[in-house]
Amino acid sequence: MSRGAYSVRRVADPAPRPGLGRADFQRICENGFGDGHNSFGHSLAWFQGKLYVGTTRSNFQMVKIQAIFKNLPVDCWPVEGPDDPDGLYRELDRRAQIWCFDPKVGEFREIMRAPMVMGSQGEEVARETGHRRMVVFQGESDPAPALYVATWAVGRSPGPLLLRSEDGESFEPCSPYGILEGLPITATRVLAAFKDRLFTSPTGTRGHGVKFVINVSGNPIIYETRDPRRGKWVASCEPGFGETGNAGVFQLCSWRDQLYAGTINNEGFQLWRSDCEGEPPYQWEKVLERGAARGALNQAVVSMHVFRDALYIGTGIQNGGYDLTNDIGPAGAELLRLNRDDSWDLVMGDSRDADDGSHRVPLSGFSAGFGNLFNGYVWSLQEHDGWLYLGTMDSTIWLRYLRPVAYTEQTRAVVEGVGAERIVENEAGCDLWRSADGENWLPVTKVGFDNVYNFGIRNMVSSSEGLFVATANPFGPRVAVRKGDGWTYQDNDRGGLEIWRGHRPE
Amino acid sequence: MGRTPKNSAAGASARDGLPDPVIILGSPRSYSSLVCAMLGQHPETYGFPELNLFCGDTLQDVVEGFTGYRQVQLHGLLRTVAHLYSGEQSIAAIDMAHRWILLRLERRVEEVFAELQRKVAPRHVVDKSPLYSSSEQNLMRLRSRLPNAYYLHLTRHPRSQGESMMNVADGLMAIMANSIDYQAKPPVVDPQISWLEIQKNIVSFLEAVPETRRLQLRGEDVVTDPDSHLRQICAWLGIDQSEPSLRRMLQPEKSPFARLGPFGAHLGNDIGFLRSPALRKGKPHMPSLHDKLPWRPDGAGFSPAVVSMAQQLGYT
Repeated sequence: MSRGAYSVRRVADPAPRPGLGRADFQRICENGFGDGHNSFGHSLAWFQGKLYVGTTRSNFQMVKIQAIFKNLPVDCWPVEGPDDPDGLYRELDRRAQIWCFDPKVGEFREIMRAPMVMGSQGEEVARETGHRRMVVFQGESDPAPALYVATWAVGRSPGPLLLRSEDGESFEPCSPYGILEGLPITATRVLAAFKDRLFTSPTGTRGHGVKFVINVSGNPIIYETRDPRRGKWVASCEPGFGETGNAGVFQLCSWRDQLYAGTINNEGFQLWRSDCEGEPPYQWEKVLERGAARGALNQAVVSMHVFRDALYIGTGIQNGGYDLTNDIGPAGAELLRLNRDDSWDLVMGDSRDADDGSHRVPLSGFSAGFGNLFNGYVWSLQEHDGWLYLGTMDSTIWLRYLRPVAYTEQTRAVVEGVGAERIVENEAGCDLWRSADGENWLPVTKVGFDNVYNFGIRNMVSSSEGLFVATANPFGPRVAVRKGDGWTYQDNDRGGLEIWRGHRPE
Repeated sequence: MGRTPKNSAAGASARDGLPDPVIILGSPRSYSSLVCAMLGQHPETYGFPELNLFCGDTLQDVVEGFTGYRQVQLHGLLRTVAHLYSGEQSIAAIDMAHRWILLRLERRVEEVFAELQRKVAPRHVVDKSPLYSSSEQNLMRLRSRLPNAYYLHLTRHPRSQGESMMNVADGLMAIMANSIDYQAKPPVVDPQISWLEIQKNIVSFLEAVPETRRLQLRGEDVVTDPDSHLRQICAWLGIDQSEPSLRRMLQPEKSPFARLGPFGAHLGNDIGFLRSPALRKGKPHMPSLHDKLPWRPDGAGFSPAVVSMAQQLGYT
């Protein structure tokens, strides 16, 4: 019998091992570790056989006082909080926390809480309000791989830090305030190990000439060090790769001996790469631009992950898929795939013509946002046990609070026809999807693990003990609810970040 | 939704080098689900449920032909795609399979078939879609699109096959096949009509197939003596005939398609097989070709043409 080019006589089952379904996930943390102010599982790492979770606190209380949200057409802000910046410092415990889950014990334990330090206005403030990134890395002077944590400083704090731990119990600063000495930044959202070096880029900016300072850096430069314990950060690229539209570097990811950098750009993200060889700053090559022919609606690279020897790129528009500052959106996020030959595929997104004239259709059959306008970010990507998992940020719950004037005419017709609360009850909550081949996708949950307040999957980490998923849930500790013709705040036992463990015992 | 472009040349070249497929031809309810699942348990083969792909030139032709009560004829393809691409046959996976189909509507069926072949390569696929045998056009399409296929002609005695057909929802399968004797007053549902038509189609079609690429077996013989007949099939296909391989083939219930599928795609194989997929060894009763037929109220028997064809196929 002819076997053509194939000569193997016995092969494994061609079907993939089943992935994790909804029933395989158990919630191992709820209600922000019992404190609804723990809003985001903002960083996650697997270190020395344990799970580490860094929290960011009181996100929606912070957002409430930001200038661009002042005119948001809501009858009532979704969470109870101060009305001015002073109130944030006066009324809230903003000290970020680190928690550890030991699977042998099956419980979380608080490892660290940020100390109070002297602030810029002569009052004590939380040194950091968030732990925005964790990475396990061994620098030149590290005797063993250490856990590094990039912090998010409150505005009146001396600045963000890089924390370091050798044992997972004690976390000490290993950088000066500002991490990159002398820069007016509040945080970094990226830490990436590549070729024995640690790379980062500033994220938030203070006092710089930009409109919106949480995500945009006035200093869109990638820095590197071989020894974060001793600092010595040097610039590895020129600002914005020499293009003024690149307002920040959102993501870094290594693949095939190159470091890939995804930017935020109001004309559409750009993707750059370098082998980081020679003397910094290195030669960088532009791989994609104009948001892969979608323009502004692919404003930023929000997530990147290597899967089956291709680079998957999740996109988004800042502020949940609708950038009020720059009037971009609303639009659902996309998933793109960069192949070894530098061709790219539209995996999930809106059909369009590419720059080379070819027509791209989504290989998954899904338009942007998995067909849901409110899926504003592909917020996290993670391989686990042969499957690629994808978490979204789903802003559907805002329908509960926004006045109809906030919508486009088309959206308003749908919302008024179906009913905002009915949509929220049935559709709100982030999505978790999975694919065995990167093209064909199945949902694990489309309703935030049955919690409408889980509006995003912020981080995932794969381990021998399962897939751990951290949500963003800023709807605590007290949430707005309708009462008669008005609103009132009440305790929200579903508010605060959640951690889910996906695990299927053999 | 956008569509992928037609690309038949690419599809044709992509088939090159793929292991030759095995197509089971026969009437419905003629052991084809059981035998396909048995063959599919061999480590060098993979048994699909009823794909029904070669019932049209493009996937769109196929899908458009399976609307209304015929939509169950897509269940096998849906289950196959769900299983091969996600490892599960759940409602969510079937939903995914619908999207997979939508994206390929304009592709030629041989390209779609080749894509499924590649998923299970280097195994030889086994496809047992009974609809192929009910239409000369389908058979000709098979020959032109799968020129190197192996054809296993699986038969069943026309009486027991007819009784089995009539046992399904009071003869619904026979009615769907338009197996009705309109000469009788009043007209009578009579499965011998479709049995004969299908056998004539197959016999005529196989005349043009090289002898090494065709094999006819009575299904009753396979279940009576599976060991020697499975060994015969392995020898014909040139695949391993060792005891471990043969033992695996005696466990058709281990096929991923040997149980009812999820809501929306529960079939794809014979319903009797799906409910009871294990091989039950034994010698089936071999009835007469000459008695009255239980489904004929007028006491009629088999037509001379049916008797002749049955005898040609080894029945007495």
